[in-house]
Amino acid sequence: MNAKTRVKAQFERQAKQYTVSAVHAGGESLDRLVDLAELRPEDVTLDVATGTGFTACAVAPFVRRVVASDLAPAMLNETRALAARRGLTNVLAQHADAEALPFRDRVFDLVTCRTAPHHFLDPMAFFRETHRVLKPGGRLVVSDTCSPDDDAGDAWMNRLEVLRDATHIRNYRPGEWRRMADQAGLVWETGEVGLRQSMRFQEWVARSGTPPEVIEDVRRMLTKASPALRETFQIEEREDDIHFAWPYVVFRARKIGGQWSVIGGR
Amino acid sequence: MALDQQLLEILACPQCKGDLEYDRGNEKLICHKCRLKYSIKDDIPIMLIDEAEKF
Repeated sequence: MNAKTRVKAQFERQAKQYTVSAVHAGGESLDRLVDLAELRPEDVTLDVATGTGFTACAVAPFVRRVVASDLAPAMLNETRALAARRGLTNVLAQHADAEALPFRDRVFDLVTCRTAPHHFLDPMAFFRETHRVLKPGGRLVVSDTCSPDDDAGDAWMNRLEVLRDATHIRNYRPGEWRRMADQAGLVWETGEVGLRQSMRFQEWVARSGTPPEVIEDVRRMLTKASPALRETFQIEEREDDIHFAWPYVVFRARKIGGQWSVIGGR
Repeated sequence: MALDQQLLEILACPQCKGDLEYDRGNEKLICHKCRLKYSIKDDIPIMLIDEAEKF
């Protein structure tokens, strides 16, 4: 089984878990993504790696059409069900690989992607593909977990994530996100870092289907974390569960061209 | 339910990004340039290069 097939299989299996996940359903990162997207009624948009469709369905009421794409067909069934429950008729579910998008050049006004690029084997391919499918002046808005700037925090967070979920590739630092957008020819317009404070250990390992024998190792990494890591990630052992917080980044970058051009140096 | 017309207008081969032909009878999207056939399951074209059928 190659790496991409493994990612697909994992999300086929876990689709229902994501539908009931409060972290994925909403919260601050989704609100900020919608704000930064500057949605317009005429926008034709693409939500890449839509999962169970939360972002696509949050955007849909304010735009002309949303194509909700995912690598896992089971996720698309969840997306369709969510759109139906919310009475949305402009959400189109489409199977796609984020790194080889099956769309023509310059067809979207907006591409969104939330809580997914840390699973991409080649995130630069996703950025290049996004640039290709965007119309001139079109924008990319991404929200995803990110790692802290310090090396120890970055290494620990990514080690923990890979242990918990073998399909995790990397939580990138805010600076890495910006460099990837730049390298794809997208112009960075705005970005911010927040802290998702609602992380709970038991729900977190259940969602990724972490094997029972690994769950204890993951728990130990959290409970044995250094004081510096505890502070960065707000790790607290409470009676009900281990609580912690993950940093996330939200940013908007734009494809220049047509009536859009860059003024001044970069 | 047939394939959504709005989707058909924007879909392209994920490999060459070229035109696709919709074969309604066999429920396939065909890229003649890459010689690949993409299956359609539950009205959703499966647009993965690795899973496409070569011809």
